[in-house]
Amino acid sequence: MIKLLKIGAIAAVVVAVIVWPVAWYMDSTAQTVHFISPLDEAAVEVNKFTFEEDAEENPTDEDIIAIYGSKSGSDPERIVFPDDSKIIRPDERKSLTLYAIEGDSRPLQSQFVFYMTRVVSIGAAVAAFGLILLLSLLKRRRAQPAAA
Amino acid sequence: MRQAFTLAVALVIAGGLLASSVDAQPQLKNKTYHFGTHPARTNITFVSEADLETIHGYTNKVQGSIKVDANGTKASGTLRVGVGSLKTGIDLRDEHLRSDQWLDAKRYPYVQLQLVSATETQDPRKWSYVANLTIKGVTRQIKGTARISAIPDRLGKSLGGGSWVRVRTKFDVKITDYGVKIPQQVGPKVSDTWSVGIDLYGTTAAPSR
Repeated sequence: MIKLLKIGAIAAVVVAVIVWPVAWYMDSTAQTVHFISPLDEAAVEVNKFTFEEDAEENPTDEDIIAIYGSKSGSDPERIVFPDDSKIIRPDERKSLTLYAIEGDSRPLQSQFVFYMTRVVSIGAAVAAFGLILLLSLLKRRRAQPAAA
Repeated sequence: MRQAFTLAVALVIAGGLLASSVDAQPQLKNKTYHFGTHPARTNITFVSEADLETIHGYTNKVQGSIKVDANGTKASGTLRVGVGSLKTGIDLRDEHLRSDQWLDAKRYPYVQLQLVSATETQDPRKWSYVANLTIKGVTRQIKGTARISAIPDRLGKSLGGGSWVRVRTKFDVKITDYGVKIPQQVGPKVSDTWSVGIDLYGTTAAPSR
């Protein structure tokens, strides 16, 4: 029983710690993107023409994103393991990275990864603390009759 | 004499510029634009930004039309979106969205936006509007500004039949105002205010039935 509790406590400590490097590794693959619902090629071509014709002096990121589709959300987001085929880098502004969201697939967000990491890490830490507490109680109980 | 001539020329140029800015999109006049005819040019997005995650939902299915008056400065019309067509990227979540606790697709199969008024602003590409938004049988008034871009016919040909226009607007919807109750267990996952983006290409060519 004590051996089992020891293994459980060690495993919980390992999980509480190891989830962080895993999350950081996942985040290292992340890219910061603007989500868009993409337009078809014909519409993009028309938009490129009208963008050039109505060229404003300082087009905003929104103006450029609108050439390729409809922006979803207010701020760019970090996504892990992005699908390269869905990434669009506009010629008009190379610093922008757009990510086409279509159908039922959505990329994993760093925000979600770190939220889950926190939940798992805190949960495992609480479990480890509980197991260690139980272990020490059991050990004390075993030690008492021997002393008596 | 010279000064008077310069002033007269300047006035003529200014008058011309003013007239062209007021009537910058004459092709909109007296036309009815149909929306939802091309799904790849129909984007309605809704975003919930909460602590746990940002949910990106969208649909590319919409029905409706908007009629622009003879002066090209006012518009009226209705757009409808099927609740069943809303996608968030996870089937189970879509199912929840359609359930009676959320949008209740069985009793209220459509979300509807009916223009109460739409008027061209000083910038002819921007129109201010008031609309009745109906979700889950509850109607509330919203106000906003839409960007209207008439696509020149020479370019619009590549998009298909008819004369084309692009309409873009954004507004926030507090879903709890529409009778939606967010279950406590999904609290950190879903915001009660969703940011809705509408980006539609409309054509004067009537949709095939």
